[in-house]
Amino acid sequence: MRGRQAHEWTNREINPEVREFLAQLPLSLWEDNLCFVHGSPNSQHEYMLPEIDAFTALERVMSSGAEVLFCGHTHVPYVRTLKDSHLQVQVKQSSQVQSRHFTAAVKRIVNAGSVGEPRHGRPNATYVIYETETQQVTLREVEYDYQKTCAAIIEKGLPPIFAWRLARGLEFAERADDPSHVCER
Amino acid sequence: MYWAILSGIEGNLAAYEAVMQDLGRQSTTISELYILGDLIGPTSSSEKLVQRVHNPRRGELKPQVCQGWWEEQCLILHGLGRSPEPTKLTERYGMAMVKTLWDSVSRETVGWLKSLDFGFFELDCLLIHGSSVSVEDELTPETSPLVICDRLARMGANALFCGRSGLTFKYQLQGGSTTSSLTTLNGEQSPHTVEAPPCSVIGVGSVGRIPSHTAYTLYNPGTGQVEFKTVRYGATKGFGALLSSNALDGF
Repeated sequence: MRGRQAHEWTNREINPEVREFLAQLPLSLWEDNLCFVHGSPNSQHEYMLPEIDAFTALERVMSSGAEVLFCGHTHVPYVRTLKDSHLQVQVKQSSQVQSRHFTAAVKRIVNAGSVGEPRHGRPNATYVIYETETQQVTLREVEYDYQKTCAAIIEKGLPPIFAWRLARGLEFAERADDPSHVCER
Repeated sequence: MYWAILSGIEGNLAAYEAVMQDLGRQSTTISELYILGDLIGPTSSSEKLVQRVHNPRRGELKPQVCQGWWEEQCLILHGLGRSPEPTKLTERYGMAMVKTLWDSVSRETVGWLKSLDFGFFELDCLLIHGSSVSVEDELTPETSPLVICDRLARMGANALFCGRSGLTFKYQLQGGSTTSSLTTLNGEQSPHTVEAPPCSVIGVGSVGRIPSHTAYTLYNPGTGQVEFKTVRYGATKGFGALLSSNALDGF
């Protein structure tokens, strides 16, 4: 319900120029062997949480074709490194048996966190710095006057829970929310 | 006790009859009969085939049927699919196929197709037309093992039976590992090794796609044994004679 309210409010507030700009944005960006997406290479709605299965994480990076996959969406910054990956496969077809060995070079997932709606347990803005020469990733957390933003949320008539969750850096979900809901936008 | 697993009948009534006859000749007990989608196809016998499935003969099992690619295309044509336009159908077979498929299936049957499940989960096995991603997802012997891991992990299955490729094969992930480390704002976790779970994908073959040649699968859920069956039927073998062969396999 409050999600719909937020969508409707945003729909009213966004002017045509901004709407046009947003509509032409790509779903992914590339820079050498780096790929940038919002959710995952599959969908901007897929959550790649820090604790997702290691082989699932590896599949997402491999499917992008990148060495390092940058994403967001979970609003929790992290760096996941996967190395020494190998799999042994046997395929039987038409009385033939074939064995295959799969290996992968080091892959990383870097989640940039969230500037405006953090969910790592604190109200600070988060982002990452990637050093292209050394491939070093630094997770950054920046304090700002979030209370001013919370006051503006209330003043605009948006659901107060939005201010509550920003002040705590937490997601808020009532029990009444449908836990089986899958966004199919 | 075996499960008989069919897919890709594609409206080929003669092929389905050949398989049902072959099942009747099996010495082992068949406890379940699954049809993993593509029951119908753009053929005039699709409607008769649906009626045949609805009304098994004496001693035959009633099949459990899930949706496949052709069912999805049919539902899209009737405005009941997950896509507004039959783009995949026309891209692959041309515009004329829209009418051919429309004419092959009655509205009553369309209602029944809409009610079908997307797949079945029995014991630790996922039985589905394509994969846990979609009816169109085609798993083959060449599919990356990471994709195989992902498709099984999505449903928490140890074995996935599918029919999209039309091929009979057994793809076994025998082992492997990766070393994972995680850094968050709260610190760095020590690297740890994650073992790949042993799991399998079984391509169950196609009953009706290749004229005069059907392929289906028998599975023993107690032992994990997989048996691929092929049946040749029709005029090419003379007088409608049926020839059956099998490839026995265990895992």
